[in-house]
Amino acid sequence: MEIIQNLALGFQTALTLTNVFYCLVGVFLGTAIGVLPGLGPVATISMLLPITFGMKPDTALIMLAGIFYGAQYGGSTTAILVNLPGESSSVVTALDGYQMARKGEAGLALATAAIGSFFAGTFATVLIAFFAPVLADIAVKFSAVEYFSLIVLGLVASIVLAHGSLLHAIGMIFVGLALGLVGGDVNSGVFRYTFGIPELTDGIGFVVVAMGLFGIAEVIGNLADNSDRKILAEKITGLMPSRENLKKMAWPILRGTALGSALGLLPGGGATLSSFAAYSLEKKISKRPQDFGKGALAGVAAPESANNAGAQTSFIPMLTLGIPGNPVMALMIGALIVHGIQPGASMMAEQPKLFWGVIASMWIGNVLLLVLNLPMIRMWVKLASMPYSLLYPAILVFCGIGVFSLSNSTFDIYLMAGFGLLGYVLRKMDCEAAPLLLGFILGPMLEEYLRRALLVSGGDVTVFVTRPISAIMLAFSAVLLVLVLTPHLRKKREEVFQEEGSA
Amino acid sequence: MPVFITSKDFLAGALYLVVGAVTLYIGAEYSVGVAGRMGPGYFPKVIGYALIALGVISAIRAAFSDSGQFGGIAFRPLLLITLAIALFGYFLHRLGLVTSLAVLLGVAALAAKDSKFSLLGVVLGVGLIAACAIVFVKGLGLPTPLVGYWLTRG
Repeated sequence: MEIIQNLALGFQTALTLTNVFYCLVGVFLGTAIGVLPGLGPVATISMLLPITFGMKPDTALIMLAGIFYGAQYGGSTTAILVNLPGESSSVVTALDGYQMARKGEAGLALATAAIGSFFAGTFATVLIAFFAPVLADIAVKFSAVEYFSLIVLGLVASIVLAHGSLLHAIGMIFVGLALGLVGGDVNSGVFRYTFGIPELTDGIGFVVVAMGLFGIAEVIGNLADNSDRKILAEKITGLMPSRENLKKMAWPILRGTALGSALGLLPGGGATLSSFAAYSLEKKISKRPQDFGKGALAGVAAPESANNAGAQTSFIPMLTLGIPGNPVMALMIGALIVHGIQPGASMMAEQPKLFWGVIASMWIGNVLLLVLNLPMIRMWVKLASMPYSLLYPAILVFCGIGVFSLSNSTFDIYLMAGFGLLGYVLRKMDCEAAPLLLGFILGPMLEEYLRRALLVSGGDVTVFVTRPISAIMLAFSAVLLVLVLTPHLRKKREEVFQEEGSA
Repeated sequence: MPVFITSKDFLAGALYLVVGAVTLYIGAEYSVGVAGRMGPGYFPKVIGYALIALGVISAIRAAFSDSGQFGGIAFRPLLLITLAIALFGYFLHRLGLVTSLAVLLGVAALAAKDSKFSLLGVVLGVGLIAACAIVFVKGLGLPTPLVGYWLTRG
């Protein structure tokens, strides 16, 4: 069976000493930053990108991927113990996880999260092994028209996910698109919006934007809030769940995994969307919905499985189509491009070792997380209680040096400072930065595919709905938009985000 | 001045309008072309108009429903952190990595609300600077002087 062959190749690649080591580094770092508030995978991967340039591409991707899903794990640890979700995907975990901790069930909550995540990770690995070749086959048939519609679908999906006002999510996407215009136009060679500044001829580096909007702005925001965190559960016992609890968590884990795997495939989807959706689903079908928010086991098991599954499956559109579903995937693409690898339909065939190696490494990473982290809980708790006043200067230093090292340009440092300021202002206006970043990254692609599609069709716009795959994707986008706008579902969406707000 | 002018929706709308207007204004000099042969000005035009539309919608919405007042800006961390990074960039080549990091850390330290002098902080800061100097410059070969040209020129 081809799948067995592929996975075998993958494990062969992933199980080299170097790769296992860097996988370990990745998941360890990932957990650490997941635990630390104010430092997320986007900022960290941006900072570490330059270091990966010297590595082999498979090692680089393995480590960076490890950081990503490791952060999901770390984020849940603080969500449960400190009611401080370290990552946005752990926000729902905090709702019930923290309540469980307050009831003295911290160990159970943590174990549930770990088991759920591991199961989901295993399932996702197998799913990817099945699904990726299928998708790659479909992707070969993709033309500019389908890529355009896919990106539109991704942007629409990210609107559904964005917190707060839909209008502003759309607004942020367009601001991001506008920022993406800066630089040379590939087709005509015209330099757009560069204001005569030579450093802008290549456009604004997206790591600069990412670090500014997410790293620096986060620091400013945290300093402004200056909230106090109380660590709960000094003693954590009961890490091995009872048989009864294992039964209770089984179905939520299965459902969460399924949902997360599906949603992770959507461009714009990924860990966060999956965890919210899984929580909502569990609450809706539960026989005791009143338990949710007070320490329901399913409220931890499902989102944790979902976010891990979503995080891993979000690699699929990136690897097979070359379209980043979220900012982290965009960074991965950046890492690949630096190594001269163009992610997309042909990558699976041209770089099978890299492709399957990364996928296999995700399972290995999950094992490492399960085995290493539960015993290390105490250490992570200590880390979480580190005073922010010692942490944020280090973050600033790494951001500053990191951004400089990209193009050896101090101009980038100024830009990052500017984006930090912008990011903070946007927060204060209740505008989410994530759609902006996504619009910024996808804008040039959107323009390019639009141009090519219309060139081939001779200016005929209907081509987007006459070609079947494209029509389906656009129809889906329209449905999503309508769903999101109808008052009833709008209220539901607000409810979910309200729960987050009170967490 | 009606209250909604300073509401979040209105100001966000203003942002969209400004960005849209700038996009259109500067973009006017790029040739637009037609749909079948898009010029460099085509996409910017679309984005510009969309942003203006969004800005208008947002402003109108601000007038009719309350989105909350824009405010609560913590100026101290905002200005100090931004300044700290900008100064870091400015001094990086002029004073060198060591000094510019010190400037970054020093200014950033002032940004915390309960900022007070801490020996531990200074020690850790020195340690961090030393570690960066070793890892990034000596180890990874970052092309920045440890001591900048302002200082070496005497």
